[in-house]
Amino acid sequence: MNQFKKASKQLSIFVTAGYPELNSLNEQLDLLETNGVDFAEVGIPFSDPMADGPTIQQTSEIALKNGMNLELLFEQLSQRNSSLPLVLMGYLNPVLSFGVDRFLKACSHAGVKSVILPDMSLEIYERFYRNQFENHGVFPSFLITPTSSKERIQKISKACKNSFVYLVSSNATTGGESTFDSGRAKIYESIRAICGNTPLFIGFGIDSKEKVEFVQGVSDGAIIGSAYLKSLAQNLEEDFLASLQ
Amino acid sequence: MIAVEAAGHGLKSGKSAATSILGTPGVLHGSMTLLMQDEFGQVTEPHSISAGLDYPGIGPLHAYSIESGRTKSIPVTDQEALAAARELTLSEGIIPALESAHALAALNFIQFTSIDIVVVNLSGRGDKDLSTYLKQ
Repeated sequence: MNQFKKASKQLSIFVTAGYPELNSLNEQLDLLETNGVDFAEVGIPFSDPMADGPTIQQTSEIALKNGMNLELLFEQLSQRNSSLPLVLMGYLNPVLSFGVDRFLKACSHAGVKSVILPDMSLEIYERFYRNQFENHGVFPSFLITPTSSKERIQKISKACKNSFVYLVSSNATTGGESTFDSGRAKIYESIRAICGNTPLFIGFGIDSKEKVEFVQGVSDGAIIGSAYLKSLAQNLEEDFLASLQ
Repeated sequence: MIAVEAAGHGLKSGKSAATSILGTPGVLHGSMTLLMQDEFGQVTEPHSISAGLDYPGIGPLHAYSIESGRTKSIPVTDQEALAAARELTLSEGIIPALESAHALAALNFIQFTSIDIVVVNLSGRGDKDLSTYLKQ
């Protein structure tokens, strides 16, 4: 059964592991769970985060300076209280360096439901890693954009049938300006139709209750990253989460 | 074949871009290749006086060619490249690009015989690097 499929509309929040403090993660996950977030995306900091805008880049840099790494991340996750479903998001190289099999085993132990590695293409996944992922019961989610072809979306939604399709709201990095108008809604709806039964989540550039509701109207849920991290930098994270209710 | 790499301040200086020597297999910008990285797979900040060579990775074909033994790579430091650029400029009136200057400097490290015919590919003009040359 796909754990990302729910009758209700969902909200996911992204936090960078090791930010703002090396040991903030579990406290963050508790806070997100208390505030009714459906699942958390935990960012694995990387030196060259290609898909991320300035906000997440900066949190990654700070997290790395704080000393975050995959070994420590899994150690922290093994001590967490929250039962919030988790998705890990990161880049391929730290995972290769840690060891793919070791990574997947640790994900499976930590209750990680899905993994997003934007620089692992579907083709590379199928050719090199699919067997290992499936052996550990970890299912990757892949990114698409409004300009992805119908064939590509079909292929990706099929590969994500146990996880979800992550629709990048526009062709930009995280935390950018996205226009959410009726024209955009039509595009999202047509993409949702192609995805069929595979859950579709929309992220990048979502920073308010209004935008959350807009994308929830045309998908299974919204993912917020940069906007939350910005509020966290100002110690306003509780206000921000309250503003989404 | 010979490939010349930017060694920056030197291989052991911590300020280098000699990827084929300092790198290990990794993935960056969509390619699996030799990559300068730490034990956690975080990419090391590279250094070269030439912006065009200041990159922590190397083209996958080059990495393959070097690993298979077909190509030998020679590291050349910033200072050696600058000296070679100066020599060509003074002797021939040709100002080489900083990238090409690394290839010229490598001539000092290769044993030639009297019948060898040597071709160095000057891949670019040094006009763009004049401000760097004038500072030296």
